[in-house]
Amino acid sequence: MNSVSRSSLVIALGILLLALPFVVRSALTEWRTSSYRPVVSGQVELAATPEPTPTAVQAPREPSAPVTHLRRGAVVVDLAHFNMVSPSQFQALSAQLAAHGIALRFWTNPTPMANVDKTNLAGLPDQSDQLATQLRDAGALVVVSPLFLWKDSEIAVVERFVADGGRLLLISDPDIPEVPDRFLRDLNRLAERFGVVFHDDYLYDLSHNDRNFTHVYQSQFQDRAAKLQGKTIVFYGVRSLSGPIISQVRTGETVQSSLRSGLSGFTTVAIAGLSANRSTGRVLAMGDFDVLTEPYVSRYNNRLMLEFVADFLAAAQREQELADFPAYLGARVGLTFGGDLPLDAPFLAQVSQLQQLLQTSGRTLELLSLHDVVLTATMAFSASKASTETSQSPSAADSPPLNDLIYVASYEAAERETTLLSDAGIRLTEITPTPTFSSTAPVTPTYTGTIAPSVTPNYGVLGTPSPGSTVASEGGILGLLSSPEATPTPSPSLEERLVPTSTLTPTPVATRALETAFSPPLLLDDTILILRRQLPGNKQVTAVLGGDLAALEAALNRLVAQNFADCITRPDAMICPFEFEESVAAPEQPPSASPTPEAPTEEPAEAPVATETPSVPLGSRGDILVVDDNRTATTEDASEADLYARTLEEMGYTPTLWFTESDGDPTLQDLVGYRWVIWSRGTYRGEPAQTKTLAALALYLERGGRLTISGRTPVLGGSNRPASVIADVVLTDEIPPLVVGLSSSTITLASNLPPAVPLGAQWGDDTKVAMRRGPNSADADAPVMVALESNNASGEGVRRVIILGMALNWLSDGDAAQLVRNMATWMLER
Amino acid sequence: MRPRRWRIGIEIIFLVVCLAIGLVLSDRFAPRPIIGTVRFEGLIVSPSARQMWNILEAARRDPRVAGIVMEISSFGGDASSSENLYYAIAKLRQEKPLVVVIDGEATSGGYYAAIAANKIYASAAAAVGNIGVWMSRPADPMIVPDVLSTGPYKLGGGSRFDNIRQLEMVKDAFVASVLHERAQSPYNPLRIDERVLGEGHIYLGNEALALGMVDALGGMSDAISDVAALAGVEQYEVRDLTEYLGLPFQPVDPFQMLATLRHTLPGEVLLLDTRFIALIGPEYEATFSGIANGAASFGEKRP
Repeated sequence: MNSVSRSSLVIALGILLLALPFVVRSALTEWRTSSYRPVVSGQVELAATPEPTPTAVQAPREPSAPVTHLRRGAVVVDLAHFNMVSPSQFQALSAQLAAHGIALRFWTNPTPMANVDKTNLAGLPDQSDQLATQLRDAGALVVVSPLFLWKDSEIAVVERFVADGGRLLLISDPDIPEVPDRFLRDLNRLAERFGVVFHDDYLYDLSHNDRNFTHVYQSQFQDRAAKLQGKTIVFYGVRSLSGPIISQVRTGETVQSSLRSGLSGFTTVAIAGLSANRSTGRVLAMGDFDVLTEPYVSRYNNRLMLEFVADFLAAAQREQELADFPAYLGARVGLTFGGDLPLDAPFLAQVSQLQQLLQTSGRTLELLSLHDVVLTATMAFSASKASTETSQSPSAADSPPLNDLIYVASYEAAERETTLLSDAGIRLTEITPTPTFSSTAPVTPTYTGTIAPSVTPNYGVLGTPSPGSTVASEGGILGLLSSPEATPTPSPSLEERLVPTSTLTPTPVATRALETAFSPPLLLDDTILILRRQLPGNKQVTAVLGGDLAALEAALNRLVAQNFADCITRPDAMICPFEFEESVAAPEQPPSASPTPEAPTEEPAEAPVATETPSVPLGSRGDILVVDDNRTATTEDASEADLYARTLEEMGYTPTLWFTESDGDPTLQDLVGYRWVIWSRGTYRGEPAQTKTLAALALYLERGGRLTISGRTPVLGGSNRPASVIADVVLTDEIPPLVVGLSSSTITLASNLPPAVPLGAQWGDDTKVAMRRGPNSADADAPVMVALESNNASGEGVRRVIILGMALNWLSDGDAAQLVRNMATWMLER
Repeated sequence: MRPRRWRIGIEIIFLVVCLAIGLVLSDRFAPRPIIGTVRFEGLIVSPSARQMWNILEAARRDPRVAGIVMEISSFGGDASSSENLYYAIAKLRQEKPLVVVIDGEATSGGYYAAIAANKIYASAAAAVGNIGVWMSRPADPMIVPDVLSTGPYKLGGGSRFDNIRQLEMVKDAFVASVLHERAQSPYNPLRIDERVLGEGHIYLGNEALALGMVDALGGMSDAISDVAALAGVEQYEVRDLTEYLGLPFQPVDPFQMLATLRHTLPGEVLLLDTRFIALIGPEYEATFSGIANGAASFGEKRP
């Protein structure tokens, strides 16, 4: 090997040695990473066979409805506090209650949820009036997880309801959360009044449950729920209860609370109530709502739990009092008038409303002649002749018995024909005020001016039985009604009473009064008396008594409107004030009314409403009177009357504005001076009109007047349904002249409008509907604007009425002005 | 001709120098095994789980990667993605060691992923556990206007009780996996039973250590050493796998969480620690409320 070769070999060897460590290290790296030995752990066996669709079992047999003449008191479900439940969840309970002949009724809040401030849970307006109306004929109330706070006044209504025998079901379910903590506090606010406290927990069972740890089996059934012992009842998300309660259902030892750690055996269903508010045993509290709903109610024996709840609700026995009228009446009710009262149109209208009220509740009102009603000491009354004949017809074989009578009479007639007053410890008498008395009692002059000499002889027998009547003293019950041959004592007619006489004297004269055992004498003309008398044979009489026809109208109005707010109430008697305003007999001229040469200047010409022919010719003062009925207006309410007046002025009219707050209600004399009267309430809250005002409006129409009623609480034409929100209105083609020129066939109103009373749905053939509530409104399709045109009773005049059941100024300015123009054309220019 | 002795000497010296230089250079430049680190944080939903699977799969196939340290900071996410992440780690563990370090929290689906590791480290204050499942309530079968379907459950997937049962099954699988993995831990086997696991507790790291839900208290350095030991390498590099493999991981941030959960179907099963809601704020709380109450717009408790 030469030196060159050798050197090359050495260099190559050197290079090899140079690279060898790199190669060896790289090879070692691969070798070392493969030294890892993983832990062999196998795989978890997780395969699971799906459960097949279960074989269907026979559904429970449909129960047959009980045969009853009158539906039992409904179960009212509170949804008015935006409870986080839906009506569909009550279907199972509804079906179960139907087996008892009981309906479920939802009490809702007409305000859209979107318009409610959900951040202020105390901000919901007081709904106690609506609640009282809902509960009047109800047997039970159900409250499930309200979102908004119950007001104290609402809770007071519930307390009275339960004290009267109503049942209360309170449910707080932990899986109706939405606003954690708040809803529970809200329900406890109500529940604590009855001794129930719902805990802010949920119960769970990790070892024995129905597919989920919150689906817990109930283990102990006690007291009224003892019949469920041995059955499988599962609650699906339930919270625990405590307080002075009688536990009905409890959980087992393995069930734990999310909050009340360390405890077991929790009460989930309990009977509650406190003697302090007479609610003992009338309140049922539950910590789960799901068990009453599908599909949970169909699992295991849960339907027995539903039956338990329905039985509890159905067992309500309301102690109906007079204030609950007509809830205590049976399916057939007779109506008879005592004495020989001259019945005028407004009075008959009140009777008609009474009939509608009874029909709404499934009752019938039958007019009975006084001669068909025989009141005896033992049977109290029975229907004879026509009623008996009717009951004998095959079709009427199942008609309910006539056990209830409404007796409407003046005090004199009642005392003469019945012993109602004496049985109630009341007798008619006369009082003669002394000078001392008259100086401190300003009422005396009023009454001296309203008693006509022609009625004086009648007072001579007050306080003693009249010659034509006989008082049955046995048993203290209602005595004999007048026999056919009895001659009634003359009683003052309304006209006689209202016409001021020229015999006024400053000398104190006798004043009629009611002498009672429980109060000083009550001035007869100031008092309305409604009595309820229970009679043998499960019969009863409701007596409506007043000093005269106007008082009786007012009394019937109170019954129909169930307005006893200012009355002294007893379970069987209602003593209400009646004020016959002097302005009826001697109306004053309103400051804003245009004086005319024809304006009456003498008192006799200012005849009262119920008397005939006013001296002012129709339309003699002007074309249009716009009555701004602003008595209940607030500073936030915009005047609708201004809108009417402004548009009419633009049309060339000179309407007269009248403000009821400052001018009082216009009388018939005031009304007949105008061809067209617009009675505007607009957005005002409104209040029931006085009888004399309604009578004046009726008589104005009878004289051929044209009348527009307008507002969300119309003075005439409203239904008995609660106010609800109008979101849109739809025009009809029934009366095109009234809707011509409006912007659209469907007019969408602004949001956040206050609720409006729906107009009545039953109108005569002469009435046409020009607008209805749109599909997005509550009470959709209810009339919003109706128009009536017909001849008056004499056939000499045409009366026209438009009732707009909303505020005109809810429409756009253009539509509102167009509507007023249409009204004016329809009213005056045809 | 025989080489002279001095020449032979020079050649030997040359070769020795070459070897020495080779040794020096190899020590400096020869490839060494890599201990890869990767961090998973945020919601475990399909996009994030998919990114992490890509990284883990690439690491599994890369011969230089001797082991992985996975740092987890997650409240969990949807059940299927959490399970997929668990499967990906379990598969990698069959070939290379993987040690998990819990940074802050590994709850619900985050813990589900962690249990597949050879070893779990946690800090004493870390949040661990929350084993369980939740879902929004599905709708009852209904006839949908304008839609024809061929079975009562075609549109909804099952009855209400099917959903309740299936939810329980997902939880059972979660619990069974935890029992299976942690009971075999050579370092600190599980010491609580199935019932307690199913309660969904969240434990602190030191509590979790006592219960055998993690193997040791420690951090990244401990984990790297352990992985190297498990891999049998003494000389190694520590590399961030996203840089080394060129596969980025983009965690799902809270706003993406919001968007993701807004599109969560009713009935979708979630392995999600709901405490994270408080971290995000009122806007998300409202969304969460909407999700949790499937048909809340109808005002019903159960859709």
